[in-house]
Amino acid sequence: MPETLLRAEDLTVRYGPVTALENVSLHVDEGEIVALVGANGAGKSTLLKTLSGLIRPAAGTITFRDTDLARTQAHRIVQAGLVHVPEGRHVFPRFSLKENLLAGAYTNDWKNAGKRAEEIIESTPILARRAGSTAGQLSGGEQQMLVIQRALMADPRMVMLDEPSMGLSPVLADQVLELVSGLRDRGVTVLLVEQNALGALDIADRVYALATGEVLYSGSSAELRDDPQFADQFLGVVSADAERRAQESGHH
Amino acid sequence: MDLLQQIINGLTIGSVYALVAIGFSVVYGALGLVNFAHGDILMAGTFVTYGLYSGLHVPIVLAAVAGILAGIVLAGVVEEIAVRPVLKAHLLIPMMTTLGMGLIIRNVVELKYGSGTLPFPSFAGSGFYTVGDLKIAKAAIATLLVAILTLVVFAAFLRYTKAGFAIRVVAQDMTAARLMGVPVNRTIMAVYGAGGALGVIGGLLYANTLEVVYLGMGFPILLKGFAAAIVGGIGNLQGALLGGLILGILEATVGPSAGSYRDAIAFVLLIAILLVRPAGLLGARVQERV
Repeated sequence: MPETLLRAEDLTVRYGPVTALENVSLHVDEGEIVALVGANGAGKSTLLKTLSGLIRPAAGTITFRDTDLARTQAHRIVQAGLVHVPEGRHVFPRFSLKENLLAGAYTNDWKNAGKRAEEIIESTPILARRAGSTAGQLSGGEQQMLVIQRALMADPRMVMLDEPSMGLSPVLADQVLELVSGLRDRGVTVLLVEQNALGALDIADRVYALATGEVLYSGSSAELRDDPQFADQFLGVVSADAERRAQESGHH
Repeated sequence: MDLLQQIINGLTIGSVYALVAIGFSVVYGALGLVNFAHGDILMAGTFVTYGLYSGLHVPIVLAAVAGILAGIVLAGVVEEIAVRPVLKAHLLIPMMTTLGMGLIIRNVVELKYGSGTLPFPSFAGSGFYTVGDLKIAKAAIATLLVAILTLVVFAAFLRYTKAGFAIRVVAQDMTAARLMGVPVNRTIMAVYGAGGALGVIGGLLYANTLEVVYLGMGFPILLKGFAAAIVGGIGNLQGALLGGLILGILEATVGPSAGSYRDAIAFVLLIAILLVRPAGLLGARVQERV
């Protein structure tokens, strides 16, 4: 029986009068890849922000190993071993790639971080060929690779990734998801937010599906793939959404 | 030779403006906020040194250190009381609250020292060095050396220490900094403290150059530091240095022939620079990608 790394119970989050999450419970076991799926505005990003201490829940508990995250400051949550890679990548645009990676090691072994950063850049082709650039000059896919590597510089027990494939070409999106699915082999547990539910089902062990701030479905990827209601509601939503995105990108 | 003399004078006062401008810019660069208490913080710190040195005959180095520490503490208090609670409000709000804190600081200093102009004994002595036709005040040499040393130390702090790294990270993306485990609140406090220290050092050098301290000294220095920061490209530290030196040299070269328009002429030239380069000399270029 693997250890439960993260457990959230009955989380409620409000933005003023708006309830963004209502009684959400979930858990992630050591070594798992767990996906959170749902449409825009379902509360996925809010949930990750709450888990990483950027937002305080109005009610509910969050435990990561032995730490009560609902009362812990964001930078201490990183120290506890849980790192959040936010939506929109958030590179440090004026920094070199190496400096970006260094930032990831802020809570870790700072002395050897420079050497590690150089090794990571050398061994990641997509970054190695841009080694002389600042992060702001990178393409979206390159930035995404950079911020995932940056998160790993902290040697986290668990990472939370918010839409890592968003806005990337299909080839790059596949590369990113491949990198994510490889994290498990490095002993890193993953909580992945994806609008692309099909892609998420492919690499996740278990899935939680959110709609309007509540968990509607949860189960193993295999179970949910065969659940016609889930497929109708979430895989359908995704395909309609993909269609809309394809239409939009056609205009550019 | 006269021009060279004026340029040297200009570099001296310009290095003071540069320190104040960098104190400004480091806060702006990190938070996008202007600390309008900056002038009064540096005035108060300068008065602390004055009180210890002139009143209690504490050695000047110790008195200066105490004044700088007072500036750091005051800036930290301003951050804690007037900035952090309104950090997410519209940016006019922290402008008003820091302006208010400045008024409070000024009133407290006034209670103790009144509003008159007091003699500030120059700690570098009041002689001149003569090199050929040039007469260079000892105070000016001391001012330049202290300013340069301060800037070098501060640049090294930003570049080579972990706390300096944290400041540069927070300046670029506060949310990402938080998610990397950077203690953002403590870092913001450090930014204000550093700004306060640079300001007081600037204030001390200003007082040393003019050999006076007075309650209102914060405002002209604030205005010129602000102008220097904007001309250089606000938020950009090299720009603030450049802006300060340019402003000082303009004042010293154009100023004397302009009589009572001295300040105005310098500012007119600054406006001209901004017309050509609206973001300042070293200001952020247009974003390279969206």
